[in-house]
Amino acid sequence: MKQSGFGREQGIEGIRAFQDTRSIATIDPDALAAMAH
Amino acid sequence: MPASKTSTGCRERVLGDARHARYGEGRTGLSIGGESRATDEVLRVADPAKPGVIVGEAAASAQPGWAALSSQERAAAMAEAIAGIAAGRDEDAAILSQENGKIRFEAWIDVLVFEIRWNLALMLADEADAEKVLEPAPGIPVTPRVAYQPLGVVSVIVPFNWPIAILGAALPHALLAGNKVIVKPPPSVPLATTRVVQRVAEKLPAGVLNVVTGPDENMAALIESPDVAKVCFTGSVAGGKRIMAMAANMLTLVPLELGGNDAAVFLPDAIIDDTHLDRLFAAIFDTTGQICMNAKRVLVQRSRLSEVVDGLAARLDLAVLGYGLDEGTTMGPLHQPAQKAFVEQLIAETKDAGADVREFATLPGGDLAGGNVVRPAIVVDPDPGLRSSPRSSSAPSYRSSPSTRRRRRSGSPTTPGAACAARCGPPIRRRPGASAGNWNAAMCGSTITVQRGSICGHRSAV
Repeated sequence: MKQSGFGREQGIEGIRAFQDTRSIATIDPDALAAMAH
Repeated sequence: MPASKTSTGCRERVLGDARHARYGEGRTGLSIGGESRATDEVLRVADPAKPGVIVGEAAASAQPGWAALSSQERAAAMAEAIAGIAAGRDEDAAILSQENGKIRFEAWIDVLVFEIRWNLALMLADEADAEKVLEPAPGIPVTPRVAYQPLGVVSVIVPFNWPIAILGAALPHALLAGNKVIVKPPPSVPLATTRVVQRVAEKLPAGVLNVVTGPDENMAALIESPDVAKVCFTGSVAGGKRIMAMAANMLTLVPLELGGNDAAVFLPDAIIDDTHLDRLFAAIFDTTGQICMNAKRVLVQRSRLSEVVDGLAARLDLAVLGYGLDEGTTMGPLHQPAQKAFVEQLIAETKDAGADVREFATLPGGDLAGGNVVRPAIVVDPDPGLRSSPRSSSAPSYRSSPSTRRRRRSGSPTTPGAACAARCGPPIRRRPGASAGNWNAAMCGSTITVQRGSICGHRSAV
């Protein structure tokens, strides 16, 4: 998909091309407890 | 930097008296026909030689506020900014036609596409900032919340051939994502793009949308500034190489759209009717052939060769060469003298070699006699050794790295300012069951990456 091509102009990919992704992880008590067993 | 110096140093573009007389009224922020025109406080025109001015004044100051808005809020502001843009479209198109050379209708579409793409982007407002929460993965007892954020400052550098439409493929998306943008119109076609961007920028918060014009050699800050997070470039291969090298120092993201040389391919069972021939004709000769993804070569199964050649010839017989603004003109001049010289040289070489060169339409006279108008041509079956032969050029291939970089891996000839952007065409598809030997009647197009010299050939092997 090119900058000026089809798809880019209509899809969310056109927006994502100008974004960074960030991720924040929060401890999940249930998952943590499950790991303890 | 003082406003007067900024205006003089960066934006001045003097055009002929004729344009001034016709379109000189109105506020453009440019200098036309020797008459200065003021800019306002919102549209910051920066000195590209001073990174601090460009990014520090306009971009950095605007970034926090714009980025802090929700995508829906930004979309609302952008919808308001684009409202009424069509009111100036006729004049935008007329100016673009004069700058570029292409016919008025194409210029009008160029401007229209900008608005269409802008509004298409706004439809993504709800999705743009949407976060998602992932379930804990086995052995990783956390719940990740994934979200998106703007990159920062984005430079968008557009080419001469379809500057405003191509701008529309990046600018609204970058803005909606929360970035601030600096637009750099082509040095030889700055007026219409600047007019459109200016009208939109005036309605957005100060510094969110900026436009800078001037010679390329003064534009290094748009690429090298540490505050610029991404550079979108559509243009020549040589320009793309330079920009990628310049951006490397700061590891700035650089998606490149460069020259292309894809062939149009007709398989033995292809539908070759008026509808498809019309589309092929447009795909070769629109904008006088000066589009990266125009078909410069046409490969046709031998048994279908005459249909394609005759179909193109019939359409070229109706071509009217002339001034882009004149009623009835279907093909304007090439954009710059260098492109004309290249095409003429290529055609001359092909003729000298005894190839079947078929030229169409009549060159205009009068004050257009010294312009860049060139007769469109088809060449059938050029010698493999000629530059116009399909064998003398390689179809472009591209690769994308995991980042947003995209670059050209193998070369096809380009000329300065022509054939911008890249298109990665589909691989040649052989008819199921057919061997290379059966697929041997190719017709080829020109290796002209510019313009109208679509050269068709007929050869015995591919």
